[in-house]
Amino acid sequence: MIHVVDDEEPIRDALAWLLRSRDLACRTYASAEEFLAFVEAGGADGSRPGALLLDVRMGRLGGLELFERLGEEGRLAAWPVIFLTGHGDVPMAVEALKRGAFDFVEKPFNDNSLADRLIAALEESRRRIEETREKGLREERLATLTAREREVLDLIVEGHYNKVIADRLGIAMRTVEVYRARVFEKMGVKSAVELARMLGERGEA
Amino acid sequence: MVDFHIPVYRASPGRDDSRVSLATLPPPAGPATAAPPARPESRVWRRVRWWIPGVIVVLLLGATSFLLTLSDLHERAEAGNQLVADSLWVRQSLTFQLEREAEALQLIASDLAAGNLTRGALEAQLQVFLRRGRESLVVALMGQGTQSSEILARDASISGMDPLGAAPSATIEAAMAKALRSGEAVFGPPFAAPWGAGLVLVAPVKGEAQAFLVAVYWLERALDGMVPWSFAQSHEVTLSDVTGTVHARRASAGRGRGVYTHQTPLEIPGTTLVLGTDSLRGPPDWITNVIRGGTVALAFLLFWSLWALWRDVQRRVAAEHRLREEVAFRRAMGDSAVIGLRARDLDGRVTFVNPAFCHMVGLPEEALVGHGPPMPYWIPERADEYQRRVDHVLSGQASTAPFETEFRRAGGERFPVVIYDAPLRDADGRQTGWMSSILDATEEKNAEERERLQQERLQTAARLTTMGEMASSLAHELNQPLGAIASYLAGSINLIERGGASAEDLGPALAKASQQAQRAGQVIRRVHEFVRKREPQRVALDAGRLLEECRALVELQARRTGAHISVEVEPGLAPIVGDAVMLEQVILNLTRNAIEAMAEVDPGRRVLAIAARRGEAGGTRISVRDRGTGIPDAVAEQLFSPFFTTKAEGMGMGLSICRSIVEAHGGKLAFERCDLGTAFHMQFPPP
Repeated sequence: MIHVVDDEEPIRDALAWLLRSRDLACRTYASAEEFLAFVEAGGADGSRPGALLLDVRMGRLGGLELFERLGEEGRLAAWPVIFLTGHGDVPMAVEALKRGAFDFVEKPFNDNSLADRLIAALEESRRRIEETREKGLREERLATLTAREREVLDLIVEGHYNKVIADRLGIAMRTVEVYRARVFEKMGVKSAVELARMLGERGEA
Repeated sequence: MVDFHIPVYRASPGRDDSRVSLATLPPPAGPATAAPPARPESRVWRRVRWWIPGVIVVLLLGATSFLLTLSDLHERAEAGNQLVADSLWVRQSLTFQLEREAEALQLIASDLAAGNLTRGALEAQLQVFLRRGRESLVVALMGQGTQSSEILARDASISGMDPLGAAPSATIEAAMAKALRSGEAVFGPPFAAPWGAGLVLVAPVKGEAQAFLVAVYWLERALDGMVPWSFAQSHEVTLSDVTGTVHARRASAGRGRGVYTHQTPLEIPGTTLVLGTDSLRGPPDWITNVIRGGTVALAFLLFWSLWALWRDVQRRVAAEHRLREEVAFRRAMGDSAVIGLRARDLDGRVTFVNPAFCHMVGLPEEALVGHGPPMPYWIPERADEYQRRVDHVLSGQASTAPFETEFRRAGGERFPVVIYDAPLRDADGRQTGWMSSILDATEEKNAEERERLQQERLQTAARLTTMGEMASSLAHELNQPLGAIASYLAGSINLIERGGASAEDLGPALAKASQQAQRAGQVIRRVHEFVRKREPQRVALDAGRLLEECRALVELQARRTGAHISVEVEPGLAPIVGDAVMLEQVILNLTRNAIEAMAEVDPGRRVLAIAARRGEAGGTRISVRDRGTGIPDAVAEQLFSPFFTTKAEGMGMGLSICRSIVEAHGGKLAFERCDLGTAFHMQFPPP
């Protein structure tokens, strides 16, 4: 679902027409306030893919302000934001990019490329949602480990052999092997390499 | 006395040596510059030096008194000695005469005793005796013991007197006894008589019976006769007996003063008298007193005059001190002033300059003071202007109104100045020159210039901003409908490409696109209407008047570079039909270009000529001619192209707009290359 916020009725209407012609579902809002009211009312489901198309210049609350407010509140982080900018607003849009906006499109825009950018934004949204989901799963699995299992896991990720781990922890090789099997099982991986990749992603995230 | 050299500013015309300026004054000698309170001994000296004349006066007074006393004593001694000498001489004279009387009487007595004298001869001789010595009054022949007496001769002038009777018989008898003993005629002691004092002379007549010739003397007469008149005039002369009883006194010129007196014994046969002399001269008091008084008075006078002098000196010192302070104050004022100060005498020669002025023109004071026109800081090509100004000022017509011109620094740099003149008068109120304040207006001009540039920049910026905003809002206004149209059309195309798009699907979108196209058209129309409001007004304008109205603004433009402006209007020109404001804009644009074209050339060449003349076909031609650097070929080709400019801050619209305006008035704008610079001609058709 694409959410278009623009105070110009013809633009909203024309964009909605364009997006529909590309089979993109969209909703339009005449102002930032209207969109916020929709969010407040619980209409926006952040767990489903979505994108925001915001006009930079609008009556009271502009697109940038709306973007900043959403960022502060940490809401709808999974929905990329594309700005529509007019003449002379480019520096403002660049600033917005630095702060995490997905893209900006200068008016007058090439309509189908805008639609392409929006499709890319939806794709990004999906990726973000998936990533969030994976991250949640990983954390969940880590939480099931005991303290000893966690120690063993850290040493495995560091790339030590079982013998070294046994020496370090002052336990028998055999016991290490048991812990290792249990960590692999709990984390849902088959090898140390897989485990390292999983935790590496976590580090990147 | 100290020579009070008081430095006074004078600006007298003519002789060089008479010019003194405060700034050029050598450090005045003496107290004028003496390091003020410094030397401690000077203070002591100042206190003491006033005692010295006083002490001298006292000493002088003492010495004078001493001298006077000395001379008084000397005079007294002199007079005393003189008196003694005179007295002795008088005594001599008296003694001699009385002795001669005694001898004469004794001779007669001897003759009588010898018996060779008849009575008649005796009496005759006695008469002679009486006449010779007028002091003897009577001569009588008396026997021993005064019982018998016979008067033999008497002075005829003393009738009614009995001199003989007045003489005490004891006196006569004592004298007789003495005469007998000595055998010579002797005098008896003086006696008092009703008529004065008398003296008897007894001469013994030796013979049968002891008889005596007795002569009675009148002492006063003796003094009268025997004391010289001249002596008597200045002395009182007394005869007294040894007991001091005064018997006769001659004081014909008055009583003696008792100052110079002398007593001397007058020894005559038989008795001793005392001759007293008393000078009529008083002590030499009056003259001494006069001299002494005079001296004292003079001393007081001297004191007073010293005091007066001292007071005067005090006042002078105070005045001098004040003057020095005043001079220092004025000098400090002159030195500290940031305004240049310059004084000139009536010949226009500089008599004074302050450091600010020297700094301004970059010349030392020595190079300026004494210098007459033309001055070293004049700009050569403007010398005539200065000279006129100098003549004008010196002729006394100068006003206090400021005068703006340019001066040249020693380095050749020119700078604008504002001059204020005021007459310089001496103590008598006579004008001796002119004092001028010179304000370096560089900063002011720079500030003015900066302000002007700033203003221009602001205006340009404002114009740009306005244009930018207009363009921006125009873009925005057009963006919306264009964007919408593009979206509708792109969507429609998408649907068509996918196939199966029905007219019902596409119709509303295309209708909306059409609506948006109309909206865009409206925007364009609005802009056009906005522009259309600026249609020029068309009225008949007088070219001379048009130029006149521009003139003030042109002068303002020309002020920075000091370009000279000439405006020439041919009479009887055809009016120009047009918009005054727009045409003024054109003229100002051209004059501005012309002035800027002359910014780099020699100041003397900066002449801007504006002229209105009869043009082609009875129309009017307005020309703006500069004497600047001219227009290069490359520039000439594009001169009227919009957005073409040679100026860093220009927009390149000036000449393009000018040409449009002139053409809108049915005229032509062309330029002509002259020998020196460029001329722009605006040719307007006749109405």
